[in-house]
Amino acid sequence: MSLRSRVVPPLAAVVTAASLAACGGGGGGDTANKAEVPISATAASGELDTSATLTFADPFQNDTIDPAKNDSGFPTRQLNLVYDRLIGIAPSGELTPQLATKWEFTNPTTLRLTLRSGVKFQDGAPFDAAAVVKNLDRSRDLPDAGAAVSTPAEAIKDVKASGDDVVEITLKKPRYSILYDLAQNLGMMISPGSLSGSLDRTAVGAGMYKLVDFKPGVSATYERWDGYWDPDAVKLAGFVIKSIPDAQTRINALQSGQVTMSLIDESQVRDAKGASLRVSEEATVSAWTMFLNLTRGELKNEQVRQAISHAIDRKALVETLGHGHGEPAVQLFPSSYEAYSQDWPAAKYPFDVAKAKELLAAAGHPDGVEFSALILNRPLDKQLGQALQRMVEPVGIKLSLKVVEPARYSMFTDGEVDMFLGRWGGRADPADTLKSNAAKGGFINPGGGTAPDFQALMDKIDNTPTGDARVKLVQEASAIFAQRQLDIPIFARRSIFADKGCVVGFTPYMVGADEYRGVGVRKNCD
Amino acid sequence: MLRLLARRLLMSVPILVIVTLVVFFLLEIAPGDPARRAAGGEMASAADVAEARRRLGLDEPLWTRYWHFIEGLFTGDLGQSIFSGQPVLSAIAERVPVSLSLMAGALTVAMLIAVPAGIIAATRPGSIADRVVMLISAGGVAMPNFLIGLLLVLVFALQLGIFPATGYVPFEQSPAGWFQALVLPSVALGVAAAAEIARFLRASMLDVLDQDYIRTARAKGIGVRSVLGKHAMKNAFAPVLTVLGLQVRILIGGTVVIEQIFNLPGLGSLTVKAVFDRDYPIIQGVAISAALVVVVTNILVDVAYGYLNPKLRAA
Repeated sequence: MSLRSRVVPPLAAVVTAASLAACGGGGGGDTANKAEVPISATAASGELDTSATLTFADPFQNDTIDPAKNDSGFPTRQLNLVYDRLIGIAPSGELTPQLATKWEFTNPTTLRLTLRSGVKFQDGAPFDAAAVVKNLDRSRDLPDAGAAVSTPAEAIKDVKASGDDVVEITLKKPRYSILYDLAQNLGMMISPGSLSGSLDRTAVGAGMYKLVDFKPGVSATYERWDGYWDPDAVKLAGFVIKSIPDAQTRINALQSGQVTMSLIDESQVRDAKGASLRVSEEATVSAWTMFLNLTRGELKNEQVRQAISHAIDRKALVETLGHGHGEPAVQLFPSSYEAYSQDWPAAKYPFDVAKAKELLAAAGHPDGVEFSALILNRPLDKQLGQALQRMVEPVGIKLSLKVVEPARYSMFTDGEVDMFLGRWGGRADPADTLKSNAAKGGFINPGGGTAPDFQALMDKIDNTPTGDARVKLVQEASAIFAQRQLDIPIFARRSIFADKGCVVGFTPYMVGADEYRGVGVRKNCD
Repeated sequence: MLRLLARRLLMSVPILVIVTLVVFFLLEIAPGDPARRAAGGEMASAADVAEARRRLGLDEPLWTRYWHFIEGLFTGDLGQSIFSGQPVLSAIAERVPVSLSLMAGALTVAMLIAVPAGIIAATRPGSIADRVVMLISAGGVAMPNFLIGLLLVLVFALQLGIFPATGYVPFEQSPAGWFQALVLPSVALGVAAAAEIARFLRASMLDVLDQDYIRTARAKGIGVRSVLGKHAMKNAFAPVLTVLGLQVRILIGGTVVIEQIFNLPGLGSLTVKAVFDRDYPIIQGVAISAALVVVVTNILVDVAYGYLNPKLRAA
């Protein structure tokens, strides 16, 4: 365990409590009022400070700002500022037009994109079909592209421009989730003039803000780009993202006015509110989960998995581990997400020791079973592991915890342990999230163990275009996942932001990286 | 004096070689695969991981890689970060000013506190002033620097708003801002060093003040200031130099924690991230840089020791 993680959090909690309590009394009535207005509320243009720079404290440290290499999910919020994508994602997860105004599959392997006309890159180059072809060709050819870009790029057989405003993407085989890929890093459009050089520290896109300075792992500084195609989306003069990994340091920076907004931990919410900071939270497609290796031992048995699920007091874990911020879950999705199946709420697996024992006995293990569980050496992960260990013990289930450094997570994917206790952020495409966890070939499904009906449904989803029908199939798959407990979700997490009540127009994203379209700062507000 | 310097420089060569060996081979046996991480983590295919391993040169034999590493040290090419693609020297050069500023600030704070405190305590042994200095210095040694840092932030940044809670301002951008940003972290890092140095200075000074030549000087009617400043300090300070050299080593370690608390983009935070990422070139570069700083500091201490104590020049 690092020195920081060992000594700072407990102490920081004490100091935070003291400091926030001390500062809390100073909050004036105006601050209190500001804290009551939702962060997503819009404001009249006269109320906004268009000369303001929003400084955001981000726990993630970006090494590179190249969309093809930086593919690790949440840090891409930095890239969204400078790079617009072919397809956008709404905060709730639906696909929306961005640089492409329309898309359709003319056949299962051909995607036709109609591009927005009149758009320019930040260096003045026109955004057209030829630029899209060059961008996708780069993603296909780049030897050191990250897996989130190289995997979908490998699925592309050919990309052709049809005039200035239409692009046809031919796929090697049907892959409707390519739309979600184009709504993430693969779809980030880079000016053709800068494609040949290194994009690790420079960026020329067609986004709302221009990159002024990028220091790997430290900060990224942006300024407004006046040539943006949707000027109403740009409400700030600049944007600075400071990488501050330590949660306590982030809140210190927020309180002292060095940053405008910050991601905070669940444990800091009460104190932050006490200090008159506004706290905004949103459900996310990220859940604390028991990720199972379904090819090992008794985990192949559905009744054993269901017994484990009944042995877990999810509500208690939300209250302790999540400090009351989270939602008990037996699916990988929060209940407000489109892919969530209403047929399988968490209430279907109530905390019931007797039922768990009954299921275990029915599975042929009246004397109990034993599993090895991998845990990453991080405070919350270990708390989860220890809590689960104690919860399932009365049922007769023994968990042998193996605590390792994060770099040794591959012990799970290499099949060395029965399960991994931790959390994962999910994918923009809910089908991809389910597939990754519980279908054959899923990258966090070691051994490829699955249930036949679930696999059949996932295969069907692969050949179903995005739209209502596909969403319905994903809901069915999520229901089967929950019923069979192919993994055992514990509770869905929330992303929590704090600010002094000055930020307007911001809606935290459920999946993928946040965007800052229409986000501004009130005048005379600090 | 030149012979002393030459001897110390020669002695530092095997030390640096050992450091390179230890750093290189420790990383080799550390768990975690940088090739997998570079290929995109767990969702990377075996082919992607193999390609990343080849691209990063991690498929070459161990000794070949060590030889390339040593070659790079002589040509100034320490490789590139596996993840940012940034040359290691450039990454270190960007961060060094922050860490050096912090260490210089901490040493300044340490000396500003330790020298007067040590002298006051030594010249009035057993007095209330002496006891207060010893009590406070015991507290300074005992209190971890992260606790001092958090308390300083609480009082001087969050409550009083005098200094910033986090961040760094480059000197060339704003000298005043640079100074302001460094005050709290320097105090947090320097207090323990101050306490240690004050205790050593007091002990050393007490020993010197008991010497015959000091008694003679006093008997001759030389003023207290002159006795202390001209005669006692020079000899009393020699052992303190050793402690000062040791403190540099401790301060380098301390920057790792302090840079996290104050979010300073120095070598400490670079190292923490590189270790978690298994970014071998960066870790090796930082370790060698830190070893160089320690070796150079030791040489400077030895040379200064020789200056203060001529008997050692011939040793």
